[in-house]
Amino acid sequence: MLFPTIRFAIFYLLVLPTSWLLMPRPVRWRVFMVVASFGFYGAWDWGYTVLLAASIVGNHAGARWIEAAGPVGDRDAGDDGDDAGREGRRARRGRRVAVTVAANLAVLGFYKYAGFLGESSGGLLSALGLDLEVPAPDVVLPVGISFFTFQALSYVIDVHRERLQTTSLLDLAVYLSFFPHLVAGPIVRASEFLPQLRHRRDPRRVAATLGLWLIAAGLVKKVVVSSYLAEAAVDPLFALPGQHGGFEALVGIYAYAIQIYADFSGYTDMAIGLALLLGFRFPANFDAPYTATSLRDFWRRWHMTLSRWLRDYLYVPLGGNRGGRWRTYRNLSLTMVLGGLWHGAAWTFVVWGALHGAGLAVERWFDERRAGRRGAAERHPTLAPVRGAGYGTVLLDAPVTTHSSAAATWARRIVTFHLVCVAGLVCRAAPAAGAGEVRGGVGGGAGDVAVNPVVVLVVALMLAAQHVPAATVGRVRAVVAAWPVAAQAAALATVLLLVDALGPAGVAPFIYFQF
Amino acid sequence: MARTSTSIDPGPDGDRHATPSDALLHIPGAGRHRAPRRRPAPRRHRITTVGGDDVVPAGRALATVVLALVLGALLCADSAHRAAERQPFGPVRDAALAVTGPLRTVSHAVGLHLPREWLLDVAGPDDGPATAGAGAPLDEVPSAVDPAADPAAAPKPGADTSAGGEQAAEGPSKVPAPVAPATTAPATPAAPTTAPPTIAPAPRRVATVEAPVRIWMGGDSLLGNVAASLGRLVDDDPRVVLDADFRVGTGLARPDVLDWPAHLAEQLAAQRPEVVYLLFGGNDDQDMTTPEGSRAVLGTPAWRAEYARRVGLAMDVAAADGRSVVWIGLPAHEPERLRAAGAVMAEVAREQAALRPAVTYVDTSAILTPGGTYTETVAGADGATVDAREADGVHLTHAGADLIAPALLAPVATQFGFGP
Repeated sequence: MLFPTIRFAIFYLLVLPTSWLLMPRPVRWRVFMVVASFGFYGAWDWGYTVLLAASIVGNHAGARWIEAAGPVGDRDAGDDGDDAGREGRRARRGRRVAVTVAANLAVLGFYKYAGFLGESSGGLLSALGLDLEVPAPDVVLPVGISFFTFQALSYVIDVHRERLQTTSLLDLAVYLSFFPHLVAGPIVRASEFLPQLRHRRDPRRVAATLGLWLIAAGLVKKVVVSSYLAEAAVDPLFALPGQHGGFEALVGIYAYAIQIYADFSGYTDMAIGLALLLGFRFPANFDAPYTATSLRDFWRRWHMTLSRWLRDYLYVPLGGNRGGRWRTYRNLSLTMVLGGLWHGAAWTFVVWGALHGAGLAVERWFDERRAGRRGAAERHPTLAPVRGAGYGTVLLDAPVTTHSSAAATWARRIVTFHLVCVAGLVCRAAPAAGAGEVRGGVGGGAGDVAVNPVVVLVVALMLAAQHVPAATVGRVRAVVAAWPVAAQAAALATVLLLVDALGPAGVAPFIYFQF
Repeated sequence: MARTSTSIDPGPDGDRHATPSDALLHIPGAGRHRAPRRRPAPRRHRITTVGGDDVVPAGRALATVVLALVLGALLCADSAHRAAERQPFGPVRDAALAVTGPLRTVSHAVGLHLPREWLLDVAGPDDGPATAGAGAPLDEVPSAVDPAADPAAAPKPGADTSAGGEQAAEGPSKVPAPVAPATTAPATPAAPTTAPPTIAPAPRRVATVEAPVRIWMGGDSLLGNVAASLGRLVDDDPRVVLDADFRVGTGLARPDVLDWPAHLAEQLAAQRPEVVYLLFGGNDDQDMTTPEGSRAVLGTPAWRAEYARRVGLAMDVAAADGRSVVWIGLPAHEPERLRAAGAVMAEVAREQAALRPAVTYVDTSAILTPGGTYTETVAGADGATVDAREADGVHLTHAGADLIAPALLAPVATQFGFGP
C-alpha cells in the first residue's frame, strides 16, 4: 500500500479518527495500531507479516534475555557491587547481545544477501577455475526489512547499553510495526519512539499544519517531480547511455540526483507528516543535502537517521577515531562500505559506499594536513579532542570549516554535489552498461540538442529551493497556520489536484523500497 | 506556542537553507541570524525531531483532512473514476465504480472537474487519448495486412499459419478484425520452436553515417534491458540511431492506463523512425473490454480474439508510412498465469505478423526458453551458463537480453546493410 494512493487515503481516513477516539484507552489504542499496521504491511504480502511478528517476538525475548544478565552500572557513579561480579555481568550481556544481533543479521542476510553471496562466491570460484555449484537462494526481499531490522537492533543494543529499559511486547509491537515508518523510514530509534508511547498524546495539541504541509510537500516531490524526471530524463539516459551525449547526459545525471532526493525525501516527508497527525514526532531525515560543502556535511544532511544509526551502532563500536589516523580511515571506509551494502545486495552499492568512505577519509586527511601546517591542532577544533564529543565526531558531527569566503563555499558546494552525483551513478548504472558509459557520454556528443528545457528548469528549481532560507518558509507556514479550516482544506485539495493532474498515471515504486 | 526543536548547525555562510519542506524542520526566522565569526566548538549531533509548533485540537486536524479529501475527490473525480476502471474486474472494482460514478456526476454538475481539465490542457502529462485500444478506431491508420497474402501458401518461418485466411480475404480494414479462430484453446503453450527465430527480410537501403537508420523501440518494462542490450550492440556504429520508450506497468490489455496504439501514432509521427521494435505482454494477463463493451475473460476465445485485434492494430500503426516492424516475441515466463497467457500472446503475435509483410516476428523463446519451457539459466554463446531472468521470472537480466540482442538486430542489419 503506497502512501500516494486512493487505497491508502481510505485506510488513513479510517485510522486517524479511530486512533484519536481510542487515545483515552491506551491498551485498546495499542492493539488497534498494531492491527492497522499489520494490515498496512500485509497489503503487500500477508506472508511478510509472519516475518514482522517473528522479529517483534524475537527481539522482545532477546532484550529481556540481555536485561536478565543483570545490570553493569556505572563505576564512576559509585554503583555497589564488586568488580568481578560487574565484569561477569558485562561479559554475559555482551554474549547475549551478540547472539541477538547475530540473529537479526542472519534473518536480514538470508532475505537480502543470500542470493548475492551465492552468486558472488560462484563467480569467484569460477574465476579461480573451480567449477563448484554454489547455491544462490532465490528469495523475494520483504518490503522494509532493512528498516525494521535496524530499528529492532537499536532497541536491543540500547537495552544492552543500559540506555533503555525493556518494554512490553505490545509496546515493542507498536514501535516496530508503526506503519508511517515501517517500510522506508525514517529510521526511528527505540529511544526516540518508546518514550512517546508512555505519555498519552494530547488531543488538544496536534501539529496539524506542519503535518499537512509535509504530506503535501512529499506528494509533490514524489509524484510530480521524481516521476517526471524519471520518465523525461533519467530512465531514457540509463536505458541507452550510448545514445545520449554531452549536455543531455549531464542534465540526466543532475536529474537523477534530484529524482532520488525527491523520491526518498518525499516519502519521509509524508511519513513524518502522517505520524505528526497521529501525535508522534519523528526525527528529521533530510536537510537540504545539496547545499553540503563537504561529504561529511552531506552525510549530516542526507538520510540523517541512517547516518546517525551507522555512527552510533557501527562506527563507534568499530573504534571510531580512537585508534589514530589509519584506524580512523579504516573505520570510516568500513562503515560506509557496510552502509552501501545496506542499500542493496550488489557490488554497485559496495563500490558506492567505498567511494563515499574514501572521500570521507580523504577529507579527513586534508583537514589534518591543513591543521598540521597551522601547527596547532587546537586551532582546528575538528581535530582537537573535545569533551563529550564522542568517538563518532569524524563521521558526522565535526563542524564544517566556516572561515571560507563565499566563493570558496560555493566552490566546495559545487564540488561536493558533483562528487555525490558521480558516486550515485555507480548505484544506478547497471553492471552491464556501466557508469563509465554514462559518464563517457558527458564528454562527447557535443552536437546533440535533445535536452528537454522543462527538465532543466525542474532541476534548477529544485536545486535553488534548497537555498531558500528556512525563515521565509516558516513565515509562509505561519500564515497558512492562521487560516480557517476551510481555507487550509482548500489549499490541500489544490495540492492534490496538482499532483493528480501533473503526475503520471499510477505511482512508481519508491526507490528506497528496494533497500 | 511551542517551537520545532532543532540542532542542525548553520551552514558555513550562516544561513539555514532548505527546500520548503526541509525548512520546516528549523526554527522560523533562524535564517536571519548571521553566523558567528568564530568556529563553533564540535558537539554531539543532537537529535532533531519534527513537530511541536502550530498545534491545534485533533478534531480540527481531522476536519481539515476530511474536508481536503472530499474537496480533492471532487476536483479529481474524473481521475478517480478512471482509476476505478483500471482495477481488475471484481467486487473491488464494482465498489470503486459505485463510489466514483456519483462523485463524478456531482463534480461535473457543480463544475469542479473544470480546474483539472484546464490544468491538463496547460501542463498535463501527454499520455494520449483513450481511444484506439478501447474500441474507437484510429481512423487514419491503414492496415498493414497484405490483401493478396495467403498465409498458408507463403508462411514465414516460425509463424503459426493456421489462422488468418479469413482476415486476409476481407482485404484492408481500418481496424483489423479478429483473425484468430475462436476455437483455439487459449491456454495451450506454444509449440516448441525449432526454426530459426528470425527471417531475413528484403534489403531496403544501405545505412550510412550521413543517413543513418533511425530505430525506435516501444513496449512495457520488459523492453528496458532489451533496449539497453541492443543499444550496446550499435553504440559504436554511427550508421544507427536508436531510441527507446518503455513504460512500466503498461501493455495492450489496458488502454485506460496507456493507449499504446495512440501513443505509437504520436511518437512515430514525431520521431520518424524507419524501423520500429515492439515488445508487449508482461502486464497483459488480465481481462479486457471489447469494442462492444463486453468483458473478454482471460483464457477464453473472446480474449484471444480481442488481443489479436489489439496486436494487429499496434502492428498497423507501427508499419504505417512504410516502416519496418520487428515484433519481439515473448519467451516463456515462470509465473503460471503469465506463462499460460504469454503462450497465447506469442501465438497471436506470430499469426498477426504472418499477415503483414512489413512485420518480422523474432521468437526469443527459441533462445531463452528452448522447447517453450521456462528456465532461469541458459547456455551462452561460449557454453557458459547465463542467468537470463530476473528473480521475478519475467524480466530479462542484462545477460539474458544480451543473448537475444544479435537475433533482434539481424533482420534490420540485413535490411539496412550494416550487419556483419
